[in-house]
This record gives sequence, C-alpha cells and structure tokens, in this order.
Amino acid sequence: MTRDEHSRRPSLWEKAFQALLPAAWRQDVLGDLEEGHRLRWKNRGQLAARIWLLRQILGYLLRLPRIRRLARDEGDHCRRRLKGKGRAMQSFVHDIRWAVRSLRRQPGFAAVVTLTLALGIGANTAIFSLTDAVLLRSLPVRDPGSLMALEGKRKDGNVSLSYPLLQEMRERQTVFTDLIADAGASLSRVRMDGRRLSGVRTSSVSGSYFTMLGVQPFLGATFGEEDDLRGGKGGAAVVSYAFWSSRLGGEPSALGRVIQADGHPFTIIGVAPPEFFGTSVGSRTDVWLPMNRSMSEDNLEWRTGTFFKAVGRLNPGITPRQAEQSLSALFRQLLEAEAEHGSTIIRKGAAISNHRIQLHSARNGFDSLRQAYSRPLQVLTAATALVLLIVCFNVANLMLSRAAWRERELATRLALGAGRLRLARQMAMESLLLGLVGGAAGLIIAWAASPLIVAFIASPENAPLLQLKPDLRILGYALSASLATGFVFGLAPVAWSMRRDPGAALGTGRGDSGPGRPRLRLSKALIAVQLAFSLLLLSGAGLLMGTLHNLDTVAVGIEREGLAVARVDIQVPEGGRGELVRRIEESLEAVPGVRTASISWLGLFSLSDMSTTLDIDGYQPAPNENLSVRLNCVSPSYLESMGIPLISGRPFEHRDGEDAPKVAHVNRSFVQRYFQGRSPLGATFRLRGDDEDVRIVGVTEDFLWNDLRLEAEPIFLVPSSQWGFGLRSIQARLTVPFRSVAQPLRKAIENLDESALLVRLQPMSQQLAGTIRQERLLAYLSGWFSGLGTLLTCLGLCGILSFSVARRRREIGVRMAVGAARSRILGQVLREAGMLLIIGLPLGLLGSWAASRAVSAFLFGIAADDAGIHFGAAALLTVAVIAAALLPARRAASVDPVEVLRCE
Amino acid sequence: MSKQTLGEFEQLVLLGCLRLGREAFAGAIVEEISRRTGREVAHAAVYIALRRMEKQRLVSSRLGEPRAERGGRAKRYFEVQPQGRLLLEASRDALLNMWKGVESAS
Repeated sequence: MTRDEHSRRPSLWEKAFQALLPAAWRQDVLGDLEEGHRLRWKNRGQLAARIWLLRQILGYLLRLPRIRRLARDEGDHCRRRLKGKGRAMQSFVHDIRWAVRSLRRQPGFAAVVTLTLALGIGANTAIFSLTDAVLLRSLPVRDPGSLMALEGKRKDGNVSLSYPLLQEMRERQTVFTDLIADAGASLSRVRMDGRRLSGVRTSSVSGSYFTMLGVQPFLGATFGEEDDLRGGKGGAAVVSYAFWSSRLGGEPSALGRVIQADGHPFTIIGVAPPEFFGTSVGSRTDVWLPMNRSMSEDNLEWRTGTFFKAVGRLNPGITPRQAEQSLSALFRQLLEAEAEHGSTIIRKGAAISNHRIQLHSARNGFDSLRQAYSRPLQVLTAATALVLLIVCFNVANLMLSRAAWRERELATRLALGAGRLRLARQMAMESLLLGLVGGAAGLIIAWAASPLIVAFIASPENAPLLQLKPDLRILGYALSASLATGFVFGLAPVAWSMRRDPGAALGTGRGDSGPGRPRLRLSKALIAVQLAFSLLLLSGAGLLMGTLHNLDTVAVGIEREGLAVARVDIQVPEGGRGELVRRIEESLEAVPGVRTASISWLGLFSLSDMSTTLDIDGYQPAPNENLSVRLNCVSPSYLESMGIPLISGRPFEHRDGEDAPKVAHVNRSFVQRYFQGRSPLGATFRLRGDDEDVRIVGVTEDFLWNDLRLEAEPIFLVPSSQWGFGLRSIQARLTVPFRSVAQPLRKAIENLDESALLVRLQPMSQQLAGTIRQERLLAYLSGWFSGLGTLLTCLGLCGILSFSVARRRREIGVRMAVGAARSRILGQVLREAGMLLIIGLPLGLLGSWAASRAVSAFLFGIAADDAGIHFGAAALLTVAVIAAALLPARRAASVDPVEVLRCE
Repeated sequence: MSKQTLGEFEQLVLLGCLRLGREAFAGAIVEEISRRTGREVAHAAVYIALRRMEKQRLVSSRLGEPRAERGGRAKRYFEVQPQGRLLLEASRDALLNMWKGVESAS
C-alpha cells in the first residue's frame, strides 16, 4: 500500500467538518485524525480505518454543543454556520430595512433612479413581450419540439408540395408518426340558420390534424380521419373558442348546430381550447373543416400548384437530418412517378435529382408574422438593450454620486469596525431594491405600452391573437432584467467604496475636490460611453425614419388620397360578364360620395400577383430573356378611379365585350422595354398558349404594383369582360371622406350579388401603409428609444456636472473672488461637457457606422453611411448636451464668492 | 489545596499525558488509554477534556512543527502542569484512602 493511497481521503467530510470546528481547534484535531486514520489503514486495512474515522467524526458531532460552549469561553468565534440560520436571516432583514430607511431619507434620489429604471426596463419588457408573442412562444400542443414543417426545395428555389403528393408521401413515409396538411385560414361564405355570418375564417385541415397535434377539445370532440373520407362534401366541424364564445353565445348547445360553409353543411362537434389558434401565429381560424370534405375536388387533385402547409411529427429516435434524407429520396421517387403521368409541379427540363425536402422546426408554428418581423424585432431588441445600458450607466453614476456624498458616513462606519463585506452587502441590497422597484414600475409601463406597439403590426387577421397578456415568462424577463440591471449599476459604487481608505475619507471635508477625483473620472467615462450609445441610437433612428419618409412619399403612380379599395369575391356566371361588370360599376357609382368605381381581378398593394409570358410582335427577345409580364384584368373605369393617367390611345369601353377583338393597355415601362422608339398603339401580342391577338389600344403612366421599394415594371391591363379571370378588387374614387361613405359602400358591395363576399374595405392610404408596417414600427420605436436614450444621457450629464460644480463651489468662489469673470466659469463647465462630447462622438460615429450595416436591409432611398444623417445626429446630440450642460454651468456662474468665503 | 477533584476520565487523560511525556498529544493519549485499559475512547472526548483542563490551567499546550503525514498540519502537545499533577495525586489519594480496609475485607 502506498502513501498516496493512505492520504486519499474524502475531502468533502473534511471541509464540512472543518467548518463546524472552532478555528483554533481545526489544525490539531484534523491532523490527529488524519494521522490516526493513516496508522489504522496501514495496520488494519482501509475499511477499519474508515470506520474508525467515521466514529471519531461522529464523536465530535455529538459533542458539538459542548465544543461551542468551550470555544466561546476560549474567546474563539465559531463560524457563522454554527450560529444557525436565524442569525443570517436576521441580518438579511436588517440589510433590507437599512436599505429602505436610507432610500427614504433621499426620496428624490430614489424617485429619479426608479423612474430611470422603469423607463429602461419598461422599454425592454415591452419589446420582449412582443418578441415572445411573435417569435418565441411554442404552439400550445403536445410536444411541440418534435413537430417539423416540410418544404420542397430545388436548386434555385422552392417547390410547392401538392395535396396529392403529400397524401402519397404520408402513406409511404416512415420517419413521422403522422403527416398533416393545413390549407391555411381564409375567409369563407358562411351561413347559419339561414343568416349570413360575415368575416368567418375557415381552415381546411387533414382529418388527423387534432389527434396528431395532440389538441384536446375544450368542449365536445374533435374530428378524426373517419370524418375526412373522400366522397361528398360537408360533415364535421370544430370551432375556435373565440368564435364559440363571441358568435355562438358560448352555449354548450352550440354543439350539434349546423353551419353552411361555401354551401356545404357542417355540424359543429367540438370547441378547440382557448389557447389554440391553429398552426399559424397571427392568423386567426374560426372554424376547422376536414380537408377532403371541404376543399373542391379541383384543389384536392391540383398537382401543379398548391397552398398547403405540411407538418409532421418525428418518430422517437429519428433526427431531423435522417428524416430529411429519407423524405427527400421519397420525394424524388414521387416526382418521377408524377413526371411519367405528365402532370407535375416540376419545371420542364429541371433535373429531379436537384429536388429535396427541407425540414424546419414547427415548434413555434408557421408564421408570416414571424418571417416579416424577426429582423425588425432583433433590431429593436438591440436598441432597447442599448437604452438599458444607458440606464444602467446613469443609475451607476447616480449611485456613485450618492456613495461619494456618503463617503464620510461609510468611512466612519468602517473606522468603527463595520466589515467591508457588510457595507458592500448593504449597498448591493440598496441597488437590488431599487432594481426591483424600478422593474415593477417598468412592468406597468410595458403593459401600458404594448397595445401601442402591437397597433403597429396588427391587421384585422391577427389582432385578436396579439393581445399581449402578462404571463410568467414576461414577469420572469422583467425580473431578470431588473436584477441584472441592479447588479450592474450596483457593482460600480460597491467596488469603488470597497477600495477606499477610510482614513483618507475621514481626513477630508466634503467641499474638498481631492477624493472625488477618481470617482468623477469614472462617472465621466460612463457619460462618454452613454453619449456614444445615444449617437448610435439617434443615427439608427434617423436612417429608419428617413426610410419611412421616403416610402410614404414615393411616387406610386396612382392618386392615393380619396380612394377606397375593397377586397371582394364575386362569383362570375358563364356568359354575361360584360353585363355584370357594367352593373357593378353602375350600382357602386350610385352610392352618394362615389365619383367613379371600378372592379378588377387583382388589387394593387394587396400582395396578390400574377404574370404571364408574352409573344410581342416586332420584338426579338434575347436568348433566355424572361418575357414574363404582370397583368391585371380591369373594368372600363379602372384608370379613372385609380387616377392613373392615360398617355395616349383610348380607354376601355363597355363595347370591348366578350365577342369583340381583344384589346389591352400597357404602361410606359412596357413601351420603353419592348417598343424602343416604335409606336405601341395598334401593335399586337399574344399570351403564351393562346392564339388570339391582343391589340394595344392605350398607353398609361407607370404605376407600382405591390412593393413601394421597387421601380415601376412593365404591366399590361386587359378588360374584365374579355377574360375569364375573377372579380376580386373594387376601387372607388370618392368625393367625400372615407369614413362618411364606408357604411353605404359596404352595403352596396354586399348587395351587388348573392355571392358577393366582402373581405375588407379600407382607404388606399391604409392599404399602402399596410405594406410598410415593419418600417413604420422600426421608425417610430427607434425614434422613441433614441429620444429616451438621449434624454437619459443628458439627464445623467446634467447630474454629473451639477455634482462636480457643487464639489468645486469653494474653488469657483475663490477664483471669482480673485477676479475670474462669470463667463469664464460658464465656459469652463461647458468645456467640460465639450470634452465628453469629444470623446463620445467619435466613438458613437464609429459605432453607428458599424451598426448601420445591421439596418441597411431596411433602408430605402437612403444609404447606410449617409453622412447627412450621421452628422445630423451628432449635431442634434451636441445641441442636447449643451442644453443639458447649461443648467449646471449657470449655477456655477452664479456662485456668490462673498458667501463662499464667509462659509470658509 | 482546592476542593476540586478530577473525574475518572480526566484522570485517565492526565495520566496518559504524564506517561507520554514530551510526546503527549491527543491522538497518542487516545492510543495509550486504549492500550493500557482496553477501552476505546473517542478522540473528541479526550481532546475536549484536554482543552477544558487547559482552560483550568491543569495542562498547557504548545504547537509543534507541521508534519507531512498529518496533511501538513502541526501537532498540539500537552504537558501536565503542577496544579494538574497535584489534583491528580489528590484524586489518587482520595481513592486509595477509600480503598483502605475494603481491600483486606474482600
């Protein structure tokens, strides 16, 4: 047996045991025990040695009370642990009381700190609650982590997964426990008890949707695969909790009632739980219907396009990567089989081997909202983090000032024998307390502010889902933000006061400028960094606000004001299109306040899009040139109602009917692109796959289509009466404000036709605004946050300068007594602020130059390194700093030398 | 002389201390007692007795050099003081006086 083996003793017992012994006893008792243990190990073996040791330790533990008494008599203080928990608790309570008392002595200080913290933490929490709702929250279903969304991919983009293909995949795949399809929520024609229910959104989903997601009904039952058999329409339906409580009176008797969706009867068999909104965040579903019983056969058989989302639940033990490989192989097999039958999604000539399936975690559901807002929210989170840092520095500065004011108090306590640790603990307790109070106030600010923030991104489809309710996660976030903030700002003064020598503090008076110097330097460094952060926020906000302004004023090519647009769905009968279009125009124009009205297939800025490939006579396309051009199908009054000028040619007329020769309008970009120098009027083109000539009868000005950020592109318009496209969008040029005409117009639209479905009616300006919600959110909030940051920084600066002036009152008074001019004193304080700017501004410019790349993706009509914005922000900050410095500077200049000298 | 007397255990400890002379430390005293009397005594009991008697100035102690086999810790050596020795003898005398006559009777 080697020596080392003897000495291998459990170290834990030693530590615990050691802690229990009086300090003066430790060394010889432990030494004796170790020696005895070693000796026994050698003579009698390991086990006997261990047993002996344990017995000895037990012997000490049993005699602990006697040991304590003896040690106390010996004048040796045992460790705190020996004194029990009560003592520690008592001193903890004492610390809290001390902190509360000392804060109550300076209510102004406490209020300023609390308010500052509340603003910072409030801003952070508000953004977090939005981020949480939009980005982080998991679907309220069983084990959301194993849900995977499927996406078809080829080398250069996405491939849609058609319903037949998904069905085949579902039957043959082995990696998922189940695979479901979801057609997404859309507005439907819903009737109940013979009455029309407006604004009801239905989702067609696979029969196993609820069982696969593991959603238990709130009431009744959910439908299953047996309710989703092919053959006939109508069957079972599940309604959302919100729909049930608001539209069905929240009565259990709603079960069994029949609703007509798109003409087919569905019996309500269950109510989904309140928290369940489907698989898309921010997209409301009122009624879920079984796919095969609600979708048209055409859609179910459609192989060349799709709008289905697919979700699978991974089998236990299968990794997403394995699943991807297995599904991709299956996908290619299915595509090959499809290609043999002729009807397929893949493009002609595209190699099937390029196709694969990509899986994404569907833990948080699908989300257009998430895609649109994840980057803006990241930017805003960064901005609020900067604000919080500014807040931390500000409060740290305030605490430092306070610590300096209390220097003598603390020094006296130290000199009287208070432990440094105890003092530090009390100051930390103060910071913590302030942090918590500030956090609570911040939470209130966040709750008050979040509806305002949500208003930026809310649309009629998602508004009910974005009601941000306080929950544990948000509480937890605010709490951790407060604690972290309290810790950060509390650390500086604690560290500083721990280093101080009590003698030095006791030896000097408060008016002396000496001891405050290092503290002031630290404070000023903090202010300089705050200035840099503020500049960063200001220039970021400047760029984003400039972008919003550019987007708001960009030339759209239509008259945005005085225009109402409606998304509708009107079923078009076979034959008689021209008559229907004429009737619609006439009956809408009969509404008082409507000057001209038109109906079209697609609405501008409604995110609908259609383009087709053309053969244009007289135009020789370059090899591989894409002759795909956007088109819209419009009624004769379209140009007039939209305010798009006709440059040459004639407008569409009602005589351009079904049997008349086909005509078209093209826009200026179309002419520039395909008719370089030639006159387009009278020229003809054909839609690919269609033999009939289309003759150009008019040229319009350019107008934008869906995206304010893009240049005008070639567009052509054809008359509604000549083409079998749908009637989806109404445009009405108004002579009165929108509000006064909205109600009669809504009624007129609903009465146009038995089938007419009004989805949404709004002013064009609102529709345009809807396409730049992210930009608006970013511009407004970054503007707010930069203002807040700058305000806080300036307050901090003002505070520090005031403090520095107060400390140097005597010096200033003496200098004035010996003849220094007031303006000189004023200049000196302003110079001090200027020095901070000189340090802070370059730092900030450097930072904002680097950070502007992060927002460059959001910018429009403005460069990320736009010198005007960056230097403008710097100038703004300079003005703010000078304004903030003026108050202490004037106070310094107004020091009365006589009074100061008298005090001396 | 004080009226104070020693308990049996304290006598054992003091005697162990005396027998070991300059090598008397708690661990050794434990061994000594167990070797001579066959009694297993707890280290804690011996050590506490020693500290208490030190407080009563019956013994004194000094720290030795740190030793490797003790994990680098020093040993505390105890030495019986005259007062302790007197008390020990008084205790013995008291016992012996009590035994007189009892012995012959048995």
